[in-house]
Amino acid sequence: MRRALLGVCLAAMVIRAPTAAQTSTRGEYILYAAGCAACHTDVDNDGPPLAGGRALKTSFGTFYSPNITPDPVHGIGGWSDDDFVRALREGVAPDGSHYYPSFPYTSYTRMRREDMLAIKEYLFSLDPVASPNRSHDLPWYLSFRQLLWFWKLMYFDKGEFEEDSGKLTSWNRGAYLVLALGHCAECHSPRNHLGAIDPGMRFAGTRSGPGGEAVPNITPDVLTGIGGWPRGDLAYFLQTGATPDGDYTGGEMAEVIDEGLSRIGRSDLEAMAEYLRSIPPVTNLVERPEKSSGGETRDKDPWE
Amino acid sequence: MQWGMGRPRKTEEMYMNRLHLSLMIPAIVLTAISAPPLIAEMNIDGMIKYRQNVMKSLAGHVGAVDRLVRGQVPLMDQLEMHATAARDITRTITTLFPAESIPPEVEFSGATVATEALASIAEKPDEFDKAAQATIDATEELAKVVQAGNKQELPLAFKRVGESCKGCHKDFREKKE
Repeated sequence: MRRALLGVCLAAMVIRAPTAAQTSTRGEYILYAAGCAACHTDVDNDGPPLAGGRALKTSFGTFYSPNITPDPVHGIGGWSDDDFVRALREGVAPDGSHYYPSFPYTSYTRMRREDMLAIKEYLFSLDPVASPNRSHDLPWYLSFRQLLWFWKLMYFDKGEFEEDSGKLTSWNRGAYLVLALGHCAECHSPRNHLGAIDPGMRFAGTRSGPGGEAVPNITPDVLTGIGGWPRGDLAYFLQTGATPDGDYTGGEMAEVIDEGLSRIGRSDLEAMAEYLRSIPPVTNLVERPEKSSGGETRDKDPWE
Repeated sequence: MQWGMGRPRKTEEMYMNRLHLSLMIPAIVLTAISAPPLIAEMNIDGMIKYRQNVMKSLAGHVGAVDRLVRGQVPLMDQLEMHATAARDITRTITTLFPAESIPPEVEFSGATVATEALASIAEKPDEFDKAAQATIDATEELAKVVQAGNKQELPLAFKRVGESCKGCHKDFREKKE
């Protein structure tokens, strides 16, 4: 009976209409919660929304986000529902090739099918943009997508989010938003030499984040994470970018907020904060990459 | 004859002028080489820390306004003080980024203090000036709203301040930690 009641509550979370004033459909709301717009729009070059081309610089090379407008040639206009779900759930394209994990299907795999299809429905309601996709700029030995099958075998846990029946509805909602849609761990976690997240350091921040930026520790560690933040300030930060000391975030996180989190409801942001405050604290002081004596910047290995 | 030395008056004046000059010129030279420079040389580390201190003070006032606007602190009589302080500080923003203290020049200036300023400030000066002006305008507007006691406009006016801070940081700053 209790599980049935919980199931009804979770279904309500999925079906409930968005409350934020800036979204008109459920699919649009989920798209913003999933942060699709920030990555799939080339803001630096005034690219059209969701038409791809955004450069993601990593230690493996530069990845360029694809066009996800419903253009039949350059976008996803020819995709079926199953194609779309398979891309997010399994990291596999309609032609059977594997996606690089720069596309965070490692988090999106946890999304519910109906949420995935809500995003697709919204994307297909937009105007198509005939913007060609750009090939990734990678060293030759990383251009063999077949090798990703082995990478997935080692590091990819496929599957939908499962609620914890011992936790509150709000906690489960926050966990879903953080782990599946928001994919926060993809940026806020250090990775090994093969680009997989170190599971023991999930959310603990990294000096080598996207674009070479330092990304902070968002576990509730008091000294090096968000544990010292007053209650309510984390949700407020996710909405506005304002930190407890009056500073405002910049760089990639400012875009995450502007193009995503600021457009979802306060209650969802509070749920995300509730979940993040509940995870195990990890002590990890993240600082910017240090300079070598030659004046060049090098990444400092967090395990040094 | 006036001095008892028998020299005529005109000669005496010329003598005194030469005496004055012979004393004044060395004095001028000594003063010039020992006096502090009229325009101080910039200590790059000091400039970077000064900028960071000023920005932290700005964050302090903006953060204080934030707490007051959100109703967390019952000290609304201090709102104007913080709002006008924020306005006054933002007016100095464009003076805080001399070329030697930001990338790329800072890499060769001998600085030992890390700066959070990005090279984009030097690469896109017009855009940086525009972003700075947006913050100046937003804090001016906030101060006016506060001074007018316009409670209805207050949340929106403050939101614009926050948006301008974030907007500038998005493109021109990389947080150190």
